[in-house]
Amino acid sequence: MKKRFSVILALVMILAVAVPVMASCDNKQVKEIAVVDPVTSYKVGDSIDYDSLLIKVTYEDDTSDTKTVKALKANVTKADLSKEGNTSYTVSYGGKSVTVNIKVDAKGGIVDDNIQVSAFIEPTFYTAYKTKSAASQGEEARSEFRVKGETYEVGNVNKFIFRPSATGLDLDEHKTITVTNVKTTAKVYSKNTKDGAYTELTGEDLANFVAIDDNTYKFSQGAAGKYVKLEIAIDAEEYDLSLLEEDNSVITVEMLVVGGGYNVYDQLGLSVMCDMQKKAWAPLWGAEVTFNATTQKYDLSAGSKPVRLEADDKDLYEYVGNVSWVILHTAKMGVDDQGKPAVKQLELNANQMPETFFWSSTDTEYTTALASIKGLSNLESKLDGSLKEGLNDGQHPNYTKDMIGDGNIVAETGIGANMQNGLFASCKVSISGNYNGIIVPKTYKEGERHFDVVVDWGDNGDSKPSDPIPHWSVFQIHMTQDAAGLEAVYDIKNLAMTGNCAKDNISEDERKNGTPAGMMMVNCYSNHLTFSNTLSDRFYTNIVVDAFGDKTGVNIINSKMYDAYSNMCFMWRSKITIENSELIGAGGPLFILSDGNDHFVQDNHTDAEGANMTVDTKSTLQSYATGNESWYATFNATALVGQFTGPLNTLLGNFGKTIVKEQGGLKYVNIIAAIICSPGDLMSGNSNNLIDVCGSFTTKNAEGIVEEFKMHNDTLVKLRAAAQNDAKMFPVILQVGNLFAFTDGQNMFTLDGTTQKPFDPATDGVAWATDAHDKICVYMSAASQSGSSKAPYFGVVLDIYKNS
Amino acid sequence: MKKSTILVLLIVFLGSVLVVGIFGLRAVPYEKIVYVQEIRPTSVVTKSANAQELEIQIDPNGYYVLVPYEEGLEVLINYELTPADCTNKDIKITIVQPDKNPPAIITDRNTIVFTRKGAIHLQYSAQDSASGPTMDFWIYPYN
Repeated sequence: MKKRFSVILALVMILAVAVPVMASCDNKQVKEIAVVDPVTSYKVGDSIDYDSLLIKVTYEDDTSDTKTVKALKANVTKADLSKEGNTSYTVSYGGKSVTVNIKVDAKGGIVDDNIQVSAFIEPTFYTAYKTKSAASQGEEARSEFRVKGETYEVGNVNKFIFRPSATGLDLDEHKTITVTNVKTTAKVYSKNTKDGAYTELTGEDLANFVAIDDNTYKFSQGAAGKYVKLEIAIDAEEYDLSLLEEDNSVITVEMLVVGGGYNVYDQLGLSVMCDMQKKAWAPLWGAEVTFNATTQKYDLSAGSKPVRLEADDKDLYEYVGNVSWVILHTAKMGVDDQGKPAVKQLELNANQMPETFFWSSTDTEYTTALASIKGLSNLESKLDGSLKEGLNDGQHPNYTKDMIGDGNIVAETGIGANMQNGLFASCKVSISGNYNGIIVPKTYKEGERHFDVVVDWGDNGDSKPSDPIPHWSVFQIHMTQDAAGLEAVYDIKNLAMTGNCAKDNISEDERKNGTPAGMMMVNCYSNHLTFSNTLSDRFYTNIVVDAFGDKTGVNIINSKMYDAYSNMCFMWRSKITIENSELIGAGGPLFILSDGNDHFVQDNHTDAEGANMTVDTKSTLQSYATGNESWYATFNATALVGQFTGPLNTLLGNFGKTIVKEQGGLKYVNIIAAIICSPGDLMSGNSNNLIDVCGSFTTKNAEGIVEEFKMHNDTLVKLRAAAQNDAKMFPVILQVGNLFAFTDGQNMFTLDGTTQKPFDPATDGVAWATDAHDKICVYMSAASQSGSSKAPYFGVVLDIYKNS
Repeated sequence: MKKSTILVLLIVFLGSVLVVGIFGLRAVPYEKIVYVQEIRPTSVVTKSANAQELEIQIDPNGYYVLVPYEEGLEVLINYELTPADCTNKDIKITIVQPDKNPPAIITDRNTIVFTRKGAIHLQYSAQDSASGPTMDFWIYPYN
């Protein structure tokens, strides 16, 4: 018995020790508990998954274990997330508890129950693009682009910033609240062709395609040439969207990623294209400039405070010379002069341009410049701050040279510096407008910089001090020659531009005080510049197509130009083709085709060496004039127009034709083109070197040439040769289609094959009367062809109509 | 053609081109284009049995009005152009909406008819110039 008891007691004792030991392995004494990585901030209406909360349990023996609330079967006293404020929840386990304090915020910063998100708004530039690129609802207005619906473009050199905003409606206060830089989520889709199907990008594909951060999108090299769709949703976790239509909570943006494209949001960003003017623009970039005698180029390096724009990953100057396109996203919501909100297109700011572009009263040549316009009060008061050209004495300081290089050579192109200037000059960069606009402001405040020319470069007989001729363009495109001698191709597309020099109706008295000249739009030295789907108005001249070295070439396609003070195109030799475009309302002839100089009869030059323009019959060309407009008055051409509306029109009446349209008691002619020599040589000549104008104006349709007016057509060559030997002969020659008529001063003639014959009203008259062509070229000279003074022939192209 | 006509033509031609000063140069005023500088709303009223004039307000997005929503809501927006003698008074009104069906339509130049409740963004654009002024106008219907 004793022994059995002892065994039982031992067992009990063992069990008494063992059981608690075993029991404590499953139910150890808990020393403390803690919630692992608790979230302490929530929004009203959020919920907490308490069962999944991780709890770290530390036991008295310093061991620990981490399990979920559910696994521990812990108890939870829950927090109240139904309203804004401070609250807490408590977890209890093993006799211990832990409390987590949390803060509950209202959703999306819209703090009042009576404020509703009513609109999710895309950035202004994208709205502007959509409205400008939308189809016409009726007849196309002059403010509308010819081609609608061109794909929005985005560059991949720097970030594309697309910041939506949201409007909340405060019904109590009867006002709106605008939330800027709304939190968004984005889905990204891409396709290889415009008509292809989109594929959503996710994961690694997405990361390799675009980096998205805070409403900015940086596309990779691999994204270049791809069509992209972004579906940008307002973050439903951040805002109360209960009253926002689901359709309106997502903004869809479709675009084409352009390789080498730099995204521009303001004027300083646009200056990245100024690879031809590093010296001038460097101070605004915060950069230093040094001239490299070996490369003959300016090198840029960081100054003390280099500028870095929001969209950029490096300093601005580092992009100069390293981009192929500037792509505009520039329309903004701003304020008008009254402080009221208004969509603002990019308006150039003269105060944010290089100092060297403008006259200053501290310039050493300022006094001389002022003296050249003495007595012209309108100009004297405006010299300070005006665009700087040389003095009116033929010895101009070449500001282009100062801006872009030493010596006479333009560093990047190897061609000589010249009198033309541009606010933004490039030999590398094309411009994609995305239907945005650039405006040259006309506003003027005395003492401040402005975009007028007051003293022009030189006196070639084509200007007077009171009427300066500008040599400043907004854009200047230069030719590039790479190692292979090839030439770059440039585009200016989907862009609207407004200048500061509309046609005027200034009286002679006002003219006596001097009339500043506004800007030109583009000066081109390239052989391959295309204007595609552009809109422009109110420039002194829209395009100066200059020839420097080789022949310059411009294409104008689907573009519209209006209301120029002078001409739409001034050609110095060069080639222009125009297709499906509308050019209406120049103050002078629509086009000047100038052969420049250095062509003489004895050298047997061809028309191809002069200025050549080809226009399709789908284009509308109009520049109606009485001859009394300011331009004609300025350039002493009033009387010439009077000859058209008077005696010439009478002559044409014999053929049942007219070149005159009457309105308001005035007679107008549509002067389309003047094919001339250098303007200063128009009235002059000498017996030894007779200036010989080369050039042509041609119209075409799908079938071929409709009209071709050439300064060396067979008839004209023959007649001019005859005129040289006959003191009495200085014929005015008329050409319509293939019909010619001319007069020697006494008789009218026409041609029968190659033989001249008297004009027969019964046959020749009928041919002229029934001819269907709508253009006439009048070949004439301004002075006698006899003796030792032989002025060159020039041609004037006008519209001709059937006499009703 | 009579010889006398030809001679008159040539004499006048020579005389006028070479001796321009005799004829004088007088610039005759012609129809210079006066461009629109500004578009402003003048009044906004609802077209219903209880027609009321709405208060035009401004926020960073443009002009706006709040209007109690009712089925068939119509809103009439009147505006003025500055300067008043602008040459081309044509204004294009566009409903700006992110690719979806807008909650209203424009029945004539000034009247907006709502087909459902929802904010609408209108843009008024001058038609005389490439970079002409615009006016952004929002209508916010509410219950």
